[in-house]
Amino acid sequence: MIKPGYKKFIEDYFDITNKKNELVPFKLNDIQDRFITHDADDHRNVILKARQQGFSSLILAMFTVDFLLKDFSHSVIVADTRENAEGLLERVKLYIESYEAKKKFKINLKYNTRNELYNGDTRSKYTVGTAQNVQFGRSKTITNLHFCVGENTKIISTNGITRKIKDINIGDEVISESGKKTIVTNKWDTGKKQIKRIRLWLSNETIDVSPDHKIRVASVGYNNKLSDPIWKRAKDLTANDFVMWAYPKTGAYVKHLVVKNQFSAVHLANKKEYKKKIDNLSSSGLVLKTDYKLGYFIGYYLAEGNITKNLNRVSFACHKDEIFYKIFDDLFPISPTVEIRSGKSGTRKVITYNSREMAVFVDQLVGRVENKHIPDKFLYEYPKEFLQGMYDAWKDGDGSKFDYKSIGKQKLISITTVKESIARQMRQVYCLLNHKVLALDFKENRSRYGKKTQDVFILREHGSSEKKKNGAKSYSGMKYRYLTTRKMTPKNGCLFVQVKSIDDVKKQQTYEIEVADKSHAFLTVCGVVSNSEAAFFPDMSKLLSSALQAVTEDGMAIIETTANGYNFFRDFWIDCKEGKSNFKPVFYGASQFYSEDFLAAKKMELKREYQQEYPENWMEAFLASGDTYFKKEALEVYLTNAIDPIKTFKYGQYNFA
Amino acid sequence: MGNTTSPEIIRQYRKIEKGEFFVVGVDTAAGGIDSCVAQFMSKTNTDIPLVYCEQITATEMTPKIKSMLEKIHDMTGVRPCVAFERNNGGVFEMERLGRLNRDDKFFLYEMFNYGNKDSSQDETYKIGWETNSATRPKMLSDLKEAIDHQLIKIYDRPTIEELFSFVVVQMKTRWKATADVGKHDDLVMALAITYQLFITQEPLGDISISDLPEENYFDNKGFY
Repeated sequence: MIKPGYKKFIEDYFDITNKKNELVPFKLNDIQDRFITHDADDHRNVILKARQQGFSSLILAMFTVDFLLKDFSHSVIVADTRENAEGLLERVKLYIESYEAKKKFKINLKYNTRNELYNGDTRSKYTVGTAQNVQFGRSKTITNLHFCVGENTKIISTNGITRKIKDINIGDEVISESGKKTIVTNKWDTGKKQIKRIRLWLSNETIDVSPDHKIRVASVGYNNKLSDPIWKRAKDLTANDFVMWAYPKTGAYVKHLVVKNQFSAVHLANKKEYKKKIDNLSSSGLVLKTDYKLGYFIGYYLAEGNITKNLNRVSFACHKDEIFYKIFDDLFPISPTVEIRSGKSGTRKVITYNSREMAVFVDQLVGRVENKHIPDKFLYEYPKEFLQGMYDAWKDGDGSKFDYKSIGKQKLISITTVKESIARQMRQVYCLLNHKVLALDFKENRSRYGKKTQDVFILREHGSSEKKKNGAKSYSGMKYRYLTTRKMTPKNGCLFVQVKSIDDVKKQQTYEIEVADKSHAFLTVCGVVSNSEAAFFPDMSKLLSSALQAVTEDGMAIIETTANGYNFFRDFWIDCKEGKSNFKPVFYGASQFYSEDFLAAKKMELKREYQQEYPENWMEAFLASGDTYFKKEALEVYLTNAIDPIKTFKYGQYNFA
Repeated sequence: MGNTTSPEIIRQYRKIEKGEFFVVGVDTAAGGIDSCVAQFMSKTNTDIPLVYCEQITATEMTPKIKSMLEKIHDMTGVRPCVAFERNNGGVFEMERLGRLNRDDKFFLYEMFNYGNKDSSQDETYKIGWETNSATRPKMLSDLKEAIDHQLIKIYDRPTIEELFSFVVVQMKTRWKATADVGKHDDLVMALAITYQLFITQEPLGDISISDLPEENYFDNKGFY
């Protein structure tokens, strides 16, 4: 039992914010009270718990009491993220402020930073940090230590625009699990680790992750329908798993674009008939609807277009028989010049629009030459018909029907580009429009007609709709390589792509990154990945033993966690249960704190992850992958009736009584 | 399974009584981090008072199981029935155990050849328990029924913990009951084998001449 003075002090002087964000006096709830008055050990505790039972608040408050009253005390809080660590210290500051208000005097805080507090009167320190930036040296002495882990998982691996993780910087944008944009908020080096190399169907690209990294997967059930997505560690992944593929969902906010008037140029908007065309809109330029036709123009430019260096004209070079430009012929109030040119590379048709305004407009929208790209805003803000036009034109320009001899005489559409960003963005556009995944291959050292060419990206389109449209037949082997879960639809949905191979490769340098999105997961070239707590704390056992060396004998060390599958804490917990550690294991089931209605609602919401998040016993807390096979209620009765052995024997001692 | 590696390889939960009939299911290990496990179940009291669990190979385990079975016979006066899982070399260890049984203090489980409908064929048996895709669902569903309805008494906490971590996982076309990621199923599988013995085996009495089939000892000319 912890000294009763703590409870009295906390309830007398500290305030806390409740769930409505109101400041209220800190009255211990039943679980907190039971812990502090009955269950806790004076010095070493490990708490396994359901979500949000208020232990962090209590432990922070207890340490704050020491910080205020105990001379030369040093309290350390270790959280899993910098954001969480700073949030915890904010709570401590709130306690101190409420104490000051009630006692009507000011604490002499010498340092008051985001990571550290120093009490000039007691010469006590209060430090927070993450496992990465808190250094536990034997030279340091810690009075109180609190490990707060497992509340959040972090993100690892490359982003959808394929910069290697080592090149990713804080502030870079990546795609989250839900397909939304999110930014990288933290990054750190986690040393060399054994690596699993994962490859999915529909691509020849791979990602390298450490075996403990979690990957968002679903498995195939009846009628080839997928289960609800779960997190699975890379080492447990099989070829039967389907990895989540996230893509953006457009909000279709941008209805019009303006080709702005340029100084000393012929104004496109001067012609009266074009002014009338667009819903009474007037602007200092030509107003264009973001419709299929404009999309087609942009897409065709991405495939075949070119802008002169002085931004005076836009031209398209295509096959001499192509007439695709006629689709957007009436989009602009000027007619192009069309000429046939013969050169070394054969006869080409060149369509040229001599308009500075048009060239500037296109350059600003999607760039020119090496800078040609599809901006993110197209996928998040532009209407689907615009995107459809853009994709169709790009396919018409760069695509070709392709004999796939290795699978018989079947054909498919293949679209080749040297621009990685366009290939990847078009793949996402296709997902967004059709709720299907295109195959994407990266070809290095490619040669055509005996000459080495640039590295290219090739998108392949299969399926019945393409068959009707372009005469390409679907490759039947492809149709089950991507699927969607029963509850996922094109509106809310994600796609899942089957795992093709998982290989062990040599140790590599690994990095962790953290993103702002709540899902703490993001898209790589091989689907959605996250990392795990165990991976986040690089070597938890080493870190813990090092930290405990620094804690004084009469100090307090409390490890608090919500378990999540099999990890270091499970072994540590079992050691504590079996008396192999001097930590006292304390577990509180979810029903001891939450009402039946609340838990029923959570069960509906979390489905199979419910047991982990709101466990009734510690074994449930460590379940990683499914429901118990045996009836839970019966097992609980067995557990209650379990007894200690009356005798244990080593080999050779068989004195059964 | 925390105490697999502990030096205490046998856990006893109550006194063994005279006249009790024991059935013993043994899950054999291939070595490494796997454990050999034996659940000693009393058919008389429908409980499991003894559990053996050790990180060794099946070959090393056989003499130890033999000693324990003999000890049980000495204490109860009834010959226990034992079945090794035939996988991981268990079938050879069963044969070896049979050869070691010189004092006839226990008997080996003979597994019926399920699904043989041809009445003209002799009934075939094989010693030990064979876990395969046909028998696994049966042994687990039988055990599930027993556990869910609390038909048997289990005192051993590690076994109950393993029952908790035995989960249903969705495979490509079906659901499979298996140990959770990073956990063992030795104690559960041994328990499932034991339960099959529990529902099929009866104690054998001491053999006397009158128990034996007449044709084995008499011919037309009388006793030979």
